[in-house]
Amino acid sequence: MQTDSYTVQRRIGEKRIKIWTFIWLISFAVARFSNELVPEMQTWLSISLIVLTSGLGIKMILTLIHVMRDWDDLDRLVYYKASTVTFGFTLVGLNIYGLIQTLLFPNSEADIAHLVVILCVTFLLALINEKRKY
Amino acid sequence: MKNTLKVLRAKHEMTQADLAHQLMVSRQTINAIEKGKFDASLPLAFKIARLFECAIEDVFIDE
Repeated sequence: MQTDSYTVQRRIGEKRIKIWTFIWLISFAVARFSNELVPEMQTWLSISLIVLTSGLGIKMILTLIHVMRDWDDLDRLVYYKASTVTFGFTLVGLNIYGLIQTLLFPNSEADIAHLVVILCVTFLLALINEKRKY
Repeated sequence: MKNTLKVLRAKHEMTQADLAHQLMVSRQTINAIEKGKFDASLPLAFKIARLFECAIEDVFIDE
């Protein structure tokens, strides 16, 4: 196939993003459950894990930005559009979620995990919708 | 914005895949430009013009 040069380049980039996302997820999981894994957790160790997870998270974001530079115009446009929709939807969703929490369930606590799921699903749907257009 | 990409490609006996390979973009990008669904960026427009040895105005027509 003639398009392989771009496709191969894109796949290499995607592989790099997947690797760094996986590393970040592992570090996040270790940090999140460190209290349960080590009963008497030292504060310095907790701080170290938070710093490590933050650093790896930044590395993951930088890898994504770097990899996106090699994408072609259309791929970048699709990604930007999906990101914009996700940002808007998350902003509105976040405020409505807070409103529901305050007005209807004042005794319950907001769970960040719900918002992360909404964010991921919105991005995925927006990405599929934009890809379908072209 | 209209364009003559499909005509130029046919003149040079190139498939969408061939052109995508030359320009280092995906075949979907070439297809989207040809169908007028997507306007190429200035760097890509220059690359296309250089490849077909013509002016940008010969490829893209502002209407």
